[in-house]
Amino acid sequence: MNLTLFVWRQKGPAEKGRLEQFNAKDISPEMSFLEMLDTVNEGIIKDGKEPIAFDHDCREGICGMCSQVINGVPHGPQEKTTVCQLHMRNFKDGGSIYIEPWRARAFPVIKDLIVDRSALDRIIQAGGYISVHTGGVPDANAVLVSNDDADAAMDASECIGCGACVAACPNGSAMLFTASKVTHLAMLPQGQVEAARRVCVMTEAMTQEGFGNCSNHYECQAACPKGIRVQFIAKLNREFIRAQFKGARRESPQ
Amino acid sequence: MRFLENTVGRKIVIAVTGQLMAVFAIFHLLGNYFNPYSMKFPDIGSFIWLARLAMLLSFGLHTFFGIQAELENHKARTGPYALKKSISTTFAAKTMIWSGILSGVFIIFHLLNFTFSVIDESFQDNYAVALGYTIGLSAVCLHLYHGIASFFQTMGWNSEKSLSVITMAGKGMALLLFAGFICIVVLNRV
Amino acid sequence: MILDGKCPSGPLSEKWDKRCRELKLVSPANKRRYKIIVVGAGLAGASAAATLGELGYNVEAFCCQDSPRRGHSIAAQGGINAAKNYPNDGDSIFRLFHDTVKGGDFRSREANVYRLAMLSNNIIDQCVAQGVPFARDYAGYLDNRSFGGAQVSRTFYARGQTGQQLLLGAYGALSRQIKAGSVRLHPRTEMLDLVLIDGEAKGITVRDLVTGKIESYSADAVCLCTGGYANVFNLSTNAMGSNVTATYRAYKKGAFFANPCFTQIHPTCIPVSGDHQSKLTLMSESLRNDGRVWVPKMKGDKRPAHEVPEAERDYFLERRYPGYGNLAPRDIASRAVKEVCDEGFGAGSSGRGVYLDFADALKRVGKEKIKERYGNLFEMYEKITGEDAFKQPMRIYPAPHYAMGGLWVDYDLQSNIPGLFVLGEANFSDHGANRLGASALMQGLADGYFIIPYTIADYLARTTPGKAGTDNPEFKKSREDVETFTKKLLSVKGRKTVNEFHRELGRIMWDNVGMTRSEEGLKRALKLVPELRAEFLENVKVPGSGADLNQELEKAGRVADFLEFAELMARDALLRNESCGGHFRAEYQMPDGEAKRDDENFCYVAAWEFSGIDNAPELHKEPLKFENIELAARSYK
Repeated sequence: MNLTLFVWRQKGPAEKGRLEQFNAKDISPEMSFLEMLDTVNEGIIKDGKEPIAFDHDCREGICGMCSQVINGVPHGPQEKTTVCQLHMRNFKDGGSIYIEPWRARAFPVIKDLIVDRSALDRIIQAGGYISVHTGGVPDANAVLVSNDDADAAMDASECIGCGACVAACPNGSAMLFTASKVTHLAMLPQGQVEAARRVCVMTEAMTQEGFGNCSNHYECQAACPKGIRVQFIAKLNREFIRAQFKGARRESPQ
Repeated sequence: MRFLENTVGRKIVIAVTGQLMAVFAIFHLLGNYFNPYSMKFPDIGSFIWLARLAMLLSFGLHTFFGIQAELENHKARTGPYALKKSISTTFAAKTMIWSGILSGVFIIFHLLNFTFSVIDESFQDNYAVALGYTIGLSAVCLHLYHGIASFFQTMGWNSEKSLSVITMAGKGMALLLFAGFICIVVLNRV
Repeated sequence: MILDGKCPSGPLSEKWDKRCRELKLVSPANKRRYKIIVVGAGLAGASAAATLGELGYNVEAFCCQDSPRRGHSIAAQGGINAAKNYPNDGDSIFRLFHDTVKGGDFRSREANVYRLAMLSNNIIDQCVAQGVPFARDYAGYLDNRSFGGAQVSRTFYARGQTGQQLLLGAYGALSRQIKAGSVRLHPRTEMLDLVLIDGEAKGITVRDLVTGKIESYSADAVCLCTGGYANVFNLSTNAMGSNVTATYRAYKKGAFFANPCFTQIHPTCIPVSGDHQSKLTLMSESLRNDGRVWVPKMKGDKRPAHEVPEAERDYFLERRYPGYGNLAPRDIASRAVKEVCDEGFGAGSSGRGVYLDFADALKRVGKEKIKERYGNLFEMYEKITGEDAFKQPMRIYPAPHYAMGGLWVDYDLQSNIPGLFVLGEANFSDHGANRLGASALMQGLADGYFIIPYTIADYLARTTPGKAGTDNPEFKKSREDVETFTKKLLSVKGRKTVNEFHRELGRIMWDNVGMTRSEEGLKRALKLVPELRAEFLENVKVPGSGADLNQELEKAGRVADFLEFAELMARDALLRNESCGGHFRAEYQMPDGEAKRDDENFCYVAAWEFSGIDNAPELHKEPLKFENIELAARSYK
């Protein structure tokens, strides 16, 4: 396969970026998308130029490191697939491919296709956990969890924190990311103690980080490589309303 | 009022006030076809004023938080993608701010026209006004095309299965309203 | 030197309690005066940093990913073992201990493994309390599945993403401490040197991967939780960023490297498709619960799988190991797969693969059940190969997966350098010559949640906090050394890319120090690796500068370390004139091809001390004693 790539190049956060054209030659359809980029980079290096910087690590679709908007869709054209799992057999020989970084104010570009997603970590730090300390917990079977609830919690916690939902959202909102964690923990009896406080502080942290507001476009769901559903946002909204009636204590613990 | 500082809290305000106005629009349409003044409502006068107050409040809150959200959303985005494909969103959802502003202008015009009679021209006589009504109604219904169903998501009143049904029903309701209102304009012109 | 693991005396089951009683404590008010560096944020690192921070220590946590939620523990699929005996099928702490020692082919330390088995139950309790959504039965109780090397069901799992869920639990705990201010996080930061003050570990030198800045951090103790080195083979199931740099540079500062030749080759990975391949993808071992492994009975049979009649299929694992069948331990299964492929029975166009067939299981329990158990794995397989495993059998082939070897540590997880603690895959301690499935997650969390908080206090209580600041000459020298090396890599400006060198190294290692090793091959590797290293230093091309984000420079540093480490690995394999676990020497096998262990001469841990890059490292031995399990030939027949 031979392809024409238009890749976003940006030297640093403060620099201006632009699309640069590359020719990807002799690409095997068996290659993954990132292996295609590896091949292009080898060529760039041999030409004495700086290769395209992109985030990647596990290359098996679970670490959430890879982050590219390919032909206008975060993680590219194949449904429920991260960039690293996307294979070249999904592209047409002779076609062109646009490759851009996640774009959102909360995700400043570090270099080329690499963005800073630490804002997502800070949403979790605000309260995306159960405040249990190590040791002194009851036996694992002491609290029963229905099969359905455990399943729903698992569905929500499959989120890999890649940020595709933000990249896809016309509002740059991180609501799907936030909702997946809120739902995961609210579905479990262990997580319900802090549920009211959690939903408030996490959504507030989301706004503070500069993410936009959710207005139900559902683009996030369409882009999510792990099939996280917008129903979890509905669940977050229910949790938020319930929290108002519970008169949640809002202050962070000191 | 932490509720109103929270993105979800404000979204709920937008949703509830929007839906109140949508419900009003439904009654409004029914009223156009079946005149409620001819029915025997007890104490209809004070009910109307209560409704007017609720609508005024809804209109104000909806507009304020709607525009605020839009400004924030605009800020949350950086530079456009060279290429961006939408997968699941609709034209209606993407243009909520514009259909909203247009609807607001239209509603004010409509009130000045009918309720307060400041503007005398009626669409029965004036083609330009009729065209204005058509555009205004299109904007309102485009807004509702996304808005009605969106309300249920925002309130969390859906489930795994009902989400798609509610979305379809919301869109259907918006189209019905459009058909109902536009008929009045068209029938009165012809 | 004869090394002492410092295991407590007394009966096996009382050793840990006894040690806990002996260990010194640091009072709550004093804890905040001590600073601890934790490098790595996988299961071991995140759990250690979170727990130490919660106890009140000042923790500086480092990881090279952009977030501590991305350590490679996240990719573990199948599950985590614990001796809960919930299914009432005869499990016990002793049995888990026994299976692990036997699985490790009697090359692990009894006391450590027993402690691991004991703590396994606490881990499950802890993780459930954190909200890890383990699989449940319809009554709401935790569900278990069976795994390779065990005859009981003791593996807890969260679909095919157990590692992810456990790591997210630890990441949550860590996030809580970051919020509380007890842990300071340094993401996108790579450790490049260990700093010793008066022979004790007191800090590290790092490179900020975004700004390129070389900085030092001082502390009262250092914990390395930096994972394994399977990427020395280039193609492995590890993440692209997994490397040996942190542990290897600690080794160069005097820490002993133990059993580097003990690497695990995982039997069920997706076969290589071409030269462009950048990594290999694991298919969880749990698939062997329901999948049957076979090859055609006829050599070079190129018919599609469904055209091969039942009578012409060889279910070779079931045939050779009737007791465990498809669930034979990893090393045994891997070798069997390689053997049938080497003999020409392999499936697929390359002949480098065997079938893993779910047809029987699909008939037995139905598609829905199989989907529920392995849905995501089947999807992953289809994405990569374009084949639907519900319709045709998977093709699998072994791939390097895990490093049992690592820095030498004593019972307290402290290396021979005082103040340097090593946790998780980075140490050598618990898995011997072969790790059983679902045991890595168990070890990472046991080390981080339940062992290091106790043992590190004992060291700290004997030291004065804040011994040396980063203005100390040792720190200054460390920064200069790192900067010099970085500049050197950038200044070569040769013609071959880092990836080309890594691929070449991988080929040498896979061919000569891979699944089956021989004296001849190992000697060849010991000749080829230094040659390649010399070429690397003269001909590598690293573009860009050191002053900003430069992924080629990061890779170059890691490959430079692999090029040195590979030699140590081959040397260790050459020394070990026996076959045990993942280390199989062609010269030492039974008449039927099984591994021939030599307990007389090799029942010890080989710990290597660095003595200059051009000199042979010095060997130290820690003899292994088996007082509670009979040292017997490992049989899974």
